[in-house]
This record gives sequence, C-alpha cells and structure tokens, in this order.
Amino acid sequence: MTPNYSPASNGARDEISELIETLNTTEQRLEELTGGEVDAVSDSQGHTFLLRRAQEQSRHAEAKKQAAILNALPAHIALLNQEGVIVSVNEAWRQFATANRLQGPDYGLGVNYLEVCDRARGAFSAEAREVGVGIRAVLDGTRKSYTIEYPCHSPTEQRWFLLTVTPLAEDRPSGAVVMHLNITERRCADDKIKRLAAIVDSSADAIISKSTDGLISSWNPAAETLFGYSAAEIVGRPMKVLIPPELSFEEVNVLAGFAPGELVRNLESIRVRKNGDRVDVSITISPIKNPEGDVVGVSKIIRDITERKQREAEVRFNAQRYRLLVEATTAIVWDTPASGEFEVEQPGWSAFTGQNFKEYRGWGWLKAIHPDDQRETAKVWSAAIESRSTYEVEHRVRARDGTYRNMMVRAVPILADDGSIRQWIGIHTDITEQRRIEQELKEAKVAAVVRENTQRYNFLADSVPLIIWTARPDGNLDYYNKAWFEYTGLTLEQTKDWGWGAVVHPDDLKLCVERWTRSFTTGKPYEIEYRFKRVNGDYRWFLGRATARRGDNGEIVQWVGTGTDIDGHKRAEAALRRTQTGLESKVADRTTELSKSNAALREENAERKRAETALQRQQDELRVLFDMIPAMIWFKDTENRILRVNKRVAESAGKSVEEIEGKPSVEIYPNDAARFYADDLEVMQSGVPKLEYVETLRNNTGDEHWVQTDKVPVRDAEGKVVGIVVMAQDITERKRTEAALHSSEIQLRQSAKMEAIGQLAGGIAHDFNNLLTVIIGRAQLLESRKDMTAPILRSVNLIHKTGLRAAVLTRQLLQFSRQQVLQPQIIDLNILVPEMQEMLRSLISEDIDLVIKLSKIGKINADPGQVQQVVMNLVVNARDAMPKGGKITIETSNIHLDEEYCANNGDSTVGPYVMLAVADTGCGMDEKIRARIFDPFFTTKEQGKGTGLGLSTVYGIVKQAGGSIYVYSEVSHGTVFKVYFPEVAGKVHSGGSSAVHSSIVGGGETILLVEDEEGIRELLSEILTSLGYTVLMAMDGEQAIRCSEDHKGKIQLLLTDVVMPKLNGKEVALRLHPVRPEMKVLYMSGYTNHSIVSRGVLDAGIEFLEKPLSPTSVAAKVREVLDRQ
Amino acid sequence: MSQPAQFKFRLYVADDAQNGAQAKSNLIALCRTYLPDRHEIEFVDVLLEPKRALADDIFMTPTLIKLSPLPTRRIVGTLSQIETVLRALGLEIAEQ
Repeated sequence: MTPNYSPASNGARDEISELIETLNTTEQRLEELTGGEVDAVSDSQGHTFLLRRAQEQSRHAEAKKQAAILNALPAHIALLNQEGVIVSVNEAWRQFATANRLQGPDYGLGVNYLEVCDRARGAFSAEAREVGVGIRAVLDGTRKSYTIEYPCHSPTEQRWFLLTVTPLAEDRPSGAVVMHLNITERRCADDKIKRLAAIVDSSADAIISKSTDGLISSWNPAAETLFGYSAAEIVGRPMKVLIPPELSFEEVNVLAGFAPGELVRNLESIRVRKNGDRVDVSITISPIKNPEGDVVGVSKIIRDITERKQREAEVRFNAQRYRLLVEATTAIVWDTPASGEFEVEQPGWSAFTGQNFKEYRGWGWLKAIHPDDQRETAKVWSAAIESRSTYEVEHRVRARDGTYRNMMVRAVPILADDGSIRQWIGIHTDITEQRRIEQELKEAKVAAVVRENTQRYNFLADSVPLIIWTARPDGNLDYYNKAWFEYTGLTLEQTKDWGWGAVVHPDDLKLCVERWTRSFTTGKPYEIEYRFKRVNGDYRWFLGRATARRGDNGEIVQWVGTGTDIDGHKRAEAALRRTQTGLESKVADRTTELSKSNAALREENAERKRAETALQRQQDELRVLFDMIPAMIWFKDTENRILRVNKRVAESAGKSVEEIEGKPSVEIYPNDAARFYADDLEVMQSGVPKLEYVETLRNNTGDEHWVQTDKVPVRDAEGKVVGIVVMAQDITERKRTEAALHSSEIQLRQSAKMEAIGQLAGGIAHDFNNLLTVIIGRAQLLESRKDMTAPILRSVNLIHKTGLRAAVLTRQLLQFSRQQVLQPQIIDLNILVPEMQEMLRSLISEDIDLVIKLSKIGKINADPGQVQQVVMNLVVNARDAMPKGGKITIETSNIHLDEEYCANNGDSTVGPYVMLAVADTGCGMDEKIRARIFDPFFTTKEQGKGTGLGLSTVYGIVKQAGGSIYVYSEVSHGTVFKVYFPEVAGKVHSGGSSAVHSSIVGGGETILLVEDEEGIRELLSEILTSLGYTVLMAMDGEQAIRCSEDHKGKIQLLLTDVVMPKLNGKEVALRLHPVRPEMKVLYMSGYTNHSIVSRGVLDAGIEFLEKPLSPTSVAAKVREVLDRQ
Repeated sequence: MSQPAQFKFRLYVADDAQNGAQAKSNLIALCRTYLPDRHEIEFVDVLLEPKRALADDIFMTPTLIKLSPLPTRRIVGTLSQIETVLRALGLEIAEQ
C-alpha cells in the first residue's frame, strides 16, 4: 500500500512529529497497561485501534502465510499483469523454470507470457497459441476463467499439464493468475482406466460390479447383450433383479465366504434376463478393494454357458446311452490300445469269461479262447493290427460256467490323425444260438431230404411185386422191403444178418449159403433158385439175384438183391414132369397131403390143450405170487366192497380168503372201515395214488399193528376209476427196532463223550502227577527233618495232606478215563465185599441199615483196589441219597446177559456175568438226572460235598473191566445200581499185594535215574542219596546212555520215567540191556502210553512205580526191586 | 440432581492478532478439558463488527465474556494462566 500524502509545510511537519511522538507514547503506555496481551483497544465511539505490534505481526503473518501457501502448492503459479507480463511466481514455478532452463535467472519474471505462447514452435505450438488466446480472453474480462490440458513431453517422459487461468480481481481488469498443474499421473491413470474400460467394453463376458449397498454400479455391453438391460436402465438397481428368487441366497453376503487372500470365486448358476428367460451362467466373483484394502464393491464376470451346458448334457447323455448299450447288449464290448493287449479293465470281458483283470491283462485273454481257435485268433488279430484294418474272426470263448460259446468278433481301429492306431474298439457277439439253429436247420434239411428219398425209395421198393433186400459188404443183410415181411411173416430182427436162413428150404440152404458166401467174398453177382417158407408154412420157388454196388474207388459198398417168385413157373415145370411121371406119384402125393392134414389137425388139438394148461398154470402162479407177497393186499370197488384179498389179509383178519372176498369192508373191519374208506375215497376221487403212509391196523386179536400203506386207484379200459388196490406192509417190528436203535445210539453217544473227557483228563493228570510228586515228596522230606518247629511242621503237614488229596483226585480222573495202570487178578466178590463191610459201615450213619446178600457166584478178573472203589463209591452215593436214613442192600448173583439187554445197553456182549447190586431206599432220581449221572463233574450234591467224579469213576472202572452198569430208579422210592462183571474161570489169587514196608531200608547200590522233570529228578536223587545209594542222574534217554558209558562201575538199577521226549523209558531200557544185562529196571509214570502197558494192563515182569511218588513208596519199591532175584 | 450448567462464552478478538489467537486456542482447550459438552463459544472480530463491541462495552481485545451461568464475567488477555481463569469463571469449586 502506498502512503498517500500531499506535501506539507514545516509547521505541519512539526505538528505531525509531535502527534507521532504522542502516538508512540500512548502506544507504549497502552502496552504497559495491558501487559502486552491486548491486540486492540476501542474508544467509547467504537473506534478500534489496532496496536502497532499486532498490526505488524498481522501484516507479516499474512504475507508469510500467503507465500508459504503459494510455495507449498505443487502447481506452478505465476501472476501476470494486465499486459501479460509475469510479475510473481511461486516456488514450484521457479523449480519448473530451472528444470526447463526456461526463462533466465529470474525464472521468467518480467517476461511476457503471451509472447511466449505466441512464439511457441514445435510439437505443441498449436496448444500454446490456444493458451495465448485463452489468457487474453481472461485478461480482457471476456472469460471468467480458462482451462486446458495439454501435453508437454520432455525427451525422457510423457507429461501432461492442466493450465488454469483466472482473473486476479473479479470486477476490474487487473491481471491474471496462471497455474500449471502436472497431471501426468492422473492422465496415466485415466489412460489405464480407459484401456481397462475398453477391455471391459469389448469383453464377450458380461462384466458388472456392485457397490457395497447392493446396487449395480457398472455394466458393460456384453452384460447388455446377455441380460437385455442397457447400462442406463440397470445401473443403480439392485443386483437381485438378475437372480431367480429361489437362488437369492447366492447374493446374500456374497463376499462373506471369501477366505483371507482369496481373490476370486467361481460358481455356476442361473440368472434371469430382462425378458424373464433364464440363462445358465458361470460367475466369477471378486471383491473390489480401495487402495487401503477395504472392500468397496464386488465385481462379477458372467459368462453364458448355455451351450456348454447343453454340450455337457449331450456328452453325459451319450456316455450314458453308450453305457446302457454296453450293459443291455449281450455282446462283450472291449477296447485295447494299438498293441491289442488289454491294458485297462474290461468289465464285459470279465463278466462273461470270469477272468479277472490279472488273468486277462496283456495277452491273457487268449487263454479264454478255445485252444483250437487260439492260433487262428492270434493270427487274424496280429494281421489286423498290422494292416490297421477291421478285425473279424469267429472263435469259441470259454464262458464263466466253463462252456465254450461261439463268438463273432469284430473290432475296428480308431485311427489318430497321423494314421496310427489310437485304440481298438471291439465287440464279441455270442452267436452260439444262431450257429446252433443254423446247424439244426441244415441237419433238418438234410434229414428231410434223406427222409423224402427214403420214403420215395421205400414206397417204390414196397410197391414192386419183388422181394428186395440189401446187404453190407460182409454179407450181413440189413434191409428187406415190405414184400419180404408179408411173405415170410417175420420181423426185420428175425431175418436180419443171417436170420433169413430160417425160411430157406432146408434142401436149398447149403447151396444158397455157399453161393452167397462166394459172391460177397469175390464180388461176383449172385444168382440162385431156392425155396422160401411162406407165412402159412408152404414153400415157394424164388429166383434170387444180387449185385454189388461199388463206391468211387471200386470197393463194394453194398449188395442189392431181389427175390422173384417163380413158383408158378416151377410148378408148371413140375406139373409137366408129374404128368410125365404118371399116376402113382399123384396117388402118393395125395396120400402125403392127407396124412399131412391129419397131422396138422392133431397138432392143432394139442396146441389148444397146451394153451389151456398154460393159462391155468399162469393163474395158479399168480394166485401163489399174490399170496406170497409179504404185504396185505386188498382190491375194493368204489362201494367199499372187498373184491379180492391175499392170504396175508385173511391171516391178519383171522378169516379165510373166501369169507372175506365179496363182503363189504365194514363187515370185516367194523372199527376201522370208516377210516380206511375216507382214504380210499380220497384216492379214488382224485385218481392220485397215496403212497407210503403209516397208520395202525387192528388184527383179529385186537393188537394194534403199524402198517405202511400204499393206495392206488384201479381204472377200467376207458380210464374210469372202478376201484382201489390197497397194499399194507406190517412195520411194527421195524418200528420196535428203530426205537431200540435209538436207545443204543444214546448209549453210544454216552460212551463217546466219556471217552473224550477221559482223553482230556488223562493228559492233565500226567502233568498233575509230576507236580504233585514234587509237592508231596518235598513235604515228606521236610516232615522228616528234626529241626522243624511245631507251627512250620503243621503247615508242612497240611501241604502234604492236601497234596495227597489232590493225588487221589488225579487218580480218580485217571480211573474213569481208564488210563490208570491196572493190575487185575482173579477175585471173588463174595470175599471182597464182606471184607469191606466194616469200612463201609464207618462211612454211613447209624440210621442206615447195611444189608449184604450173597449168592453163589463165579469169579471175575479185575483190579481188587478198583472194585473196592466201585463198592465204596456206590455206597457213598446211596448214603447221600438217604439223608433221613434208610437201607442199603449190597447183593451179588450170577446172571446171563441176553441179546435184548446187550442191544439196549451199548457195548456189552452176551454171556455169563457176575452182578454186584447196590440198592438204596432214598430219594431216587428222575430220567433227566439219570441220563447224566455218569458225566464227570455232574453232581446233585451241595457245592463242595461231591467232586462229581464218584459215579464217573465207577463207570470208568466197570467199563475197563469189560463190565456194564444198569441203573433203575424211582423218584422217592430209591435207586439200584447193578454192576455186571464178566464171569471168568480160574483160581483166586491168594498172595495178595506185596506187604507194605513199615520201615525204610536203604542200600549202597548205584542207581541210574532218568527223569525229564527237574523237580522230580532232584527230589528222587535227594531221597535215594540220603538212603545211601549212589545216584547217576540223566535228564533224558540219550544222556542216560552216555552216563552208562562213562560210568566204569556197576549199575544195579535203572529208575526211569516212561514218558519222555526223544527216547522213552522202555527204549532206554532196551538200549542199555545188551551192555548191562544184570541191571534191573523200575519204571515210574503218572500216565501210561503203550510202551509198557498194553490195553491198560501192565505187561508181565515189568516193575512199576505209580506217580505221584512219595519218599516211602520210592524207598520201598527200589529196595523190593533190588532184592528180587 | 440438576443438569450441570451450560457455559456460554463470547470472545472478542481483533482480526488474527497474536494475543487474540492465543486466547482463542487457550479458551478452546480449557472448555474441552473442564467443560466438555456443556459450553458454547462465540467469536466476534471487533474489526468486522465494531457495533457489537460497542454494545458489549468492549474497549480491549482479546476480551472474554462469560454470559452464563450468571453472574457475567469479563476477562481480558491471552487466558494463558489457566488457574486464574478458572477461578475467575467460578469453576475451581465446581470441579472439586
């Protein structure tokens, strides 16, 4: 602002100076008063006075601010005066000017911009001049503003500028502001957008976008084509107008499913056109993001896939049709690569042949071709592959069921563009049926022709008044025509081959045979005159001729012959001769004829007689046969009258045949007739026989018999049912046998069951005995020690006792399993039982009477200890059945077991037995319990009272002794067990068992101990060593033999286990015997095999120690054996 | 409880002069801190509206007038000493 003042006088100057002085003072004073915090003061008239500091500050601040703003702007700004001269520029202009070395050191200040524009040359001079015009228009006020975008490319880059010219003041011409803004970036972006837009616009796919509010925000021409909406119509409308209502869910939260980082998503769906049509589309959805990464919209690329869909559907349809075709056809469809090998699975082939993929893979399929066709198939197939031509062959293929089927094969190659085979597609068609029918037709045709020819020939042959015959080259005749049969009255069978000889007149036969033989052997024609016997018996003359029919090679294939009746001719000849020979011969002839007819008459009479006799005999035979049939037979009419019966019926009814025949059924069978008749009627009405049904029939004594009946309707010649034949077989006996068989089957099953359990138990017992030997032996050794305290000794005693009880149990197991070693001897039950009396009484309580009834009986052969066991077990059982007291009766007697008993009681044999019966008056048992009493571990006693082995043991012992048990029981009355032992002859063994050694005696001998169980070996060694013996130990047979070899001194005893791996006890003894013949042998075992025991009985001369062993028993037995001479 | 009183201020400044600008920013800061949501400020430029300054009897800028709650108070200066200003406005008690 330019101060505006007029020149003043000196006085005035002074006054001004004074006023300024006052102003300064006043201002200073005001500053002081307001502490510098006040900017302006006002007087009461409202005149505001801005303090100088504030004024200066304001002024500077304004200018600085404006300069700062101008300089901060990125636009190049220049201020032009009214003439267009640059009067001021901003920082950006300066930099721009510097960079362009535009207008000298003052950055163009003072330059006339209009002239710059007008003077412009080069590429953009046109734009520059235009700018000049624009600036002038603004400067002279004809335009409010002027804007232009112009390119201003530097050699290195493309640049665009936006030039804006605005007047400095609105109301008066006072210059203008020129602003250049570099818009290169924007232009580039715009270009990019334009390019993109062009792409979008030219895209064949509809490309549309949606803003976050769900409205369509862009729409390209393809979208218009696809949907029918123009961009103007649709932009701004909701996207859902394009979506079928039922698919609206697709658009809900269309971006919600996008995983982080997922850019696009594809789906196939249906959209709606403007005209309402639906269109199949594929849609690619992607979110539109702003530079900050926020989703601001969604873009969609939509493609019309109607055609593709259709194509797909077509392809699908074709594939399905092809598959159905393959499935529906009975043919096998297959494909192979060029090589002709099966490389992928061929379901059709597999289904037909049953070959699996592995089998038919490669050339494996050839194996399913008939062996005779394989070579040809392979040849044709290889040729087809070679020539790339259609492959056609017929061969037989083995079907799944193993039969071969005729197949027509046709395969065509699919060629690739280069002419190579890409694939073979082949079809096997089953033409078996076709072939068969063809064959049949062919055969039928041939047969028809043959038949026709034959018929024609036969007709001819039969029509001629000649006998015609044919013969095979060997001279056997095989055909005659009708004339022959009519003449001879014979059948083909009778005259075939050489049968014709029978009708040749005996006088002619020899010549005839000679000639015929000569002809068919030489091939020369045959001719003869001979006589044949006519059916009525007389002979007529024939001229026989035959010629050979020859084959292509001259060989004879057939003889064809004829016989011509020349009898008339012959007769004429004869008559002539007879006339010539005279009367006598005539008379003679006559006489002969007469006698001939007489003879014929006689013959006829005899014949009739013979026929009558034969008939009679036949009738008699039938009657006998009728009666002999081992069944009752009735013949009844429809009225239930008995017309015929055989003898069996009469016997059963207790009447004679004559008494029965002709009577109504009800008269003979008053009780059963109605029942029988019901069945009869059924058969007669239905006409269907009723066979093999079982019913009862009461005989005359009233006994009911089981019969198996067959009823058959009888028909007359017209087929009308006129009666019924009933045949009944008495099967009562069979029924009885069946029942008996059933019962013995049960017995047998019981035996088998016991046997099986026995085997099992025996196996276990062996191991048990080994264990128990150690337990009992060790316990006994401990008991004998002096240093035992009382409490320990009690425990050891308990172990010992328990071990012994276990041993008893084991023995029982072995007993009933019949695997115990028996030492049977002849015993007398009448001695054995009374001896047990005391012991038995001690078993039963006071309120039970024990009665022993002995009869005179035979001896038995059994192990006495076991028989005692039987008695004891039975008595204990009887006792337990009578908790409230009663009576036990033990009885002995002889008995003969008959066939009936044996049949009903399993494996017993007929013969004399000794019976031991134990009867009680106890509770008895029902059938169910009785059936199980011998089962091991079956007990009716309380838990813990019985082992369930008592009766099983009895069973085992008795069976092993060859005996049998019979049980009879009645509930609440009692039970009786009858034990039968086979009776034997012989004397009772009186020696008894060897005395038990009361004291243990040792010795100094050497004993070879062989035992595979370590516990037992140690125990025995300890026992024997303590007794003073020298013990050599071996753990098996082989070691024992080595031991014997190594030991130089004597070995007095071999103590060996029987059952051992490798060599068993007996084998060891046999091996050592030759070396040490003086050595004695003592076996031990808890279980026996057949090496020393045959059939459960100890072989004679064998010393045996039964397990479980106890120190006492071992010591005693060893001493006994050693001492034995 | 009664609604806290609404404060109504009028600040007179002269153009963009330094003290006024300082007073302006100090006042805004003070209101934000102590009277959030219960203040109204009117700025009046005495150079533009001298008549209003006359009416309000303003003879210096910057001058702050507290129009409500009553009683009316006038404070001249940059309002830099916040405690003094608060006391003058009767706000220190209300805040405790």
